[in-house]
Amino acid sequence: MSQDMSPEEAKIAKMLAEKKAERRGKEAEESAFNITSLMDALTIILIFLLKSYGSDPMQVPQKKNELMVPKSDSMSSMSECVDIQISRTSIVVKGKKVVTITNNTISSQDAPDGFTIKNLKERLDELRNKEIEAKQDKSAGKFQGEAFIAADQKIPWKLVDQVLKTCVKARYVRFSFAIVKTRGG
Amino acid sequence: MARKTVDDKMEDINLMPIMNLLCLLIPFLLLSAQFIQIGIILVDTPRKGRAKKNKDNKESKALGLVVDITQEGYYISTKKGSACPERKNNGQPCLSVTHSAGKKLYPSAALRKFIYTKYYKPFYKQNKNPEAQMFTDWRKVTVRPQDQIPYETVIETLDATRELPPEAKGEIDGLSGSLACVFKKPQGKKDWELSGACMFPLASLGR
Repeated sequence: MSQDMSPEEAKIAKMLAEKKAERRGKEAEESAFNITSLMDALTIILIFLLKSYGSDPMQVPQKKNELMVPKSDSMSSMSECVDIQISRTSIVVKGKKVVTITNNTISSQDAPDGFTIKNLKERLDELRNKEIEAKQDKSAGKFQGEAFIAADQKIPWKLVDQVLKTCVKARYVRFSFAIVKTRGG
Repeated sequence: MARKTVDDKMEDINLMPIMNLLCLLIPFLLLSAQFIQIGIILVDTPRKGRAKKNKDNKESKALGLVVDITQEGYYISTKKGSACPERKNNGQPCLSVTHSAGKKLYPSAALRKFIYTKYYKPFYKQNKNPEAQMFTDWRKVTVRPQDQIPYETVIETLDATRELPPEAKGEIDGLSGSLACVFKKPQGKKDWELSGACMFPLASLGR
């Protein structure tokens, strides 16, 4: 067939053939690096991570030798409420430090009667009043009096008991203790 | 000519910027993520008014299960008295602590089995119907730890009183799936609801 072509035609046909071959080579190169499946995997991972972030209404920071929440078989998950963290060195309510703990005890200045922790009670009263006001504005029902307590696993029960008694005096009467789940759910 | 148009369209979708974004976001999320799951245990405190009301009305019908956590071990009692009177008379707890590598070990698995065998298994059928319960305080337990007991021991004890032991699967009617006792708060509702297989999940802490 090429014998019937003029030299000019043959030249054009050769150029076209070269161009075609070049394009084919390029396509083969591109198909070797297919990022669509990688994109899918990355998108799924991203969605999973974002979703697992959104499921916990509150975060409990775990610090070695300071605040390590005990392990438990419980599979219940938390809901949003006032959070109290009892570490080996302090009591923190909604991110604000209210009492210092020394050698697993609260000083008699902070707890004059041995049970009620003065600063903690003041802070809880303040939060309760705020919550009641907010609920009245939104007509969102009654004050529930729920407190979420994240305490270090090694602290003595007396400390937790003092916090519970102070909470009851500040009209927080329902408690949920933070734990690290040992089984899924 | 038509082929050229298709090629041009393919070139328009450039995934590289999205890929770059994803590759940056994922390590960032992974680094700042907490790989532990935080859960809760619901507890209550004993209230004088409520205790008095129960005493006045239906004292004879209450079980009154109490677990005292002491330095020596677990003392278990009900309204009728100690669960192990002989051991109590000898000054011993129902279930004693053991020592391993200088550490005190509380027999929480034995406590779970003890409560199940003595107080749950014999009475669960009579207390199944909420309107005709044998005990008015069914599913309730009071846990009283001594001041120096570590907090983790209290949590272990609450687990032991709340969850059924593995042998319950073959012995309790209607148990299927996992033996998990779960508190759930349905959206828009103020009260927690119990679901799953529970023994004594409604715990009061303290004196």
